[in-house]
Amino acid sequence: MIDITEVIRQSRAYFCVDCGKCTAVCPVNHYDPQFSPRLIVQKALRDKYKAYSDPKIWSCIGCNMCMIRCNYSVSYVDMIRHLRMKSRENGTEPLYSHGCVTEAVMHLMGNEKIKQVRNDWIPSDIQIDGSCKSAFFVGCAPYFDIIFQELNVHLTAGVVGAMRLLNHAGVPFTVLDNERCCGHDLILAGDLKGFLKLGKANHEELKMRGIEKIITACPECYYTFKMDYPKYIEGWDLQIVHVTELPEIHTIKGKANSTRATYHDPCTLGRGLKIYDAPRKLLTDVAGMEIVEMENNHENSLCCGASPWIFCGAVNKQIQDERLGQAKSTGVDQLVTSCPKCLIHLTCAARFSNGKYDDLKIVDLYQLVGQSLARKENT
Amino acid sequence: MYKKIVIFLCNWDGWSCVDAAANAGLSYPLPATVIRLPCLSSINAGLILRAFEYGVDGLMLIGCQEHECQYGQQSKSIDSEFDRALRLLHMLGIDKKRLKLVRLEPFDGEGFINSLIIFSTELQAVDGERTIAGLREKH
Repeated sequence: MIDITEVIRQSRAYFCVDCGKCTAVCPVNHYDPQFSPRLIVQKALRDKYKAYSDPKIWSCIGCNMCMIRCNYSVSYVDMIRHLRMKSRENGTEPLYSHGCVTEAVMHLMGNEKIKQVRNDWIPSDIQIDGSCKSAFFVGCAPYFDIIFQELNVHLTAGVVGAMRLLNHAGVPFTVLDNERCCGHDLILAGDLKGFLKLGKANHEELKMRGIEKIITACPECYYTFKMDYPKYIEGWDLQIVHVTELPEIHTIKGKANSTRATYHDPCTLGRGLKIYDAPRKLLTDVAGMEIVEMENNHENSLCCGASPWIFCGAVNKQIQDERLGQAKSTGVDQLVTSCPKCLIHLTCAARFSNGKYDDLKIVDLYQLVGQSLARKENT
Repeated sequence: MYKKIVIFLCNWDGWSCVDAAANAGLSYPLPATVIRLPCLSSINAGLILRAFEYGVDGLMLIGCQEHECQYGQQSKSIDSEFDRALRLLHMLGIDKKRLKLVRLEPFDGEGFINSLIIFSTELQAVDGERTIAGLREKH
């Protein structure tokens, strides 16, 4: 049972001074004035029993923009999560995008009877050390490649790129045969039960293999392992590292080429975990590109309009369109991002924009890095 | 062994087959839950996987013959969704034989019963003891 009074206390909502900075910077509020983070906090303070029945709590895209601006560190995203959990307890189900396929896949993966066949796309030239104590956490990229096959996003190419980078840096790793989704999207959508199942299954699998350190390239897996697993999973003591945090990979130098690109900061990696410069360094040093910044970058970066696979509508599309417009106005022809979900959402928005962004190529950072390293091997 | 089978079928040729089987007094070889839909194009990979999540052992989709769709969908949508669901099931380690798409002529009652018999025999052979029933906890 979720106690709303406790949620309000933990998310520091009592400190809210009603200044409205959160609403002023909220990308959802720009296109849907009915949605306001300030009002949700204030409503929760005044009538906590009605707070979770407000349908607007499902519109938040969890971009952390409000939390960056709040002078009193009100943990708004945390509050939204718990209000959603409470709302689910009372029987509300969100409206899933993509025909609930992502949610169904995540729930199926959470079952202990499932034995997946998920690593058949790894090329033979990638060196995987089966006895290694550190595991590379792939994430849901193989599933997303199937679910979004019409978009031709090839997310596994990005994962292969990250693996190739680790091989080049001499960092040994193994891959789990029955790795589950980290559960980020379930907990963000308030599905605590589903999240706990996935978390426990992952913990058991990692313990069984004797893994001590997890390396991942997916910002959301990284965020969940770092911030949520210690809170919710009992006995979680594994070390978690993002690929860009490894000092070894920054010693690799690629050949500079004259291409220019712009970098889109994923919310979880940027505002969530304050990793802004390491991926940019990877793009300039290893992929050899020159970065042209968009109007909103680093801390002010605009979200890709993603919600945890729920309620994707006109507002989300408008946010994506704004972001793509910013990328196009820089004059470059490549938009690089390091998050598989940003890649999916922006590609989807570009595809349905009537050819407005046809000359803008949306690519995964690790895919570029991998291609650059493969070229280096061949020459 | 008792198997839980769910059949999604379209309101037109699919349903007419069930109707014809009932009129001819043919009986189902095993209990199966029939869910009637306007058109199979309203099914997507998400719904198929959700059925497995709720614990079905086998799922059969029965639709019209190609180019016979009453809504002019020409089965493009269901073909791509069926393919996507098959690939996802394979990756999740669930046997592909648990999902089947059948296209029947209108009023083919015997054809419906026959395809159900073939499907149930195939299901009996899948994975032997291992069952995926009850994947989703009851709320």
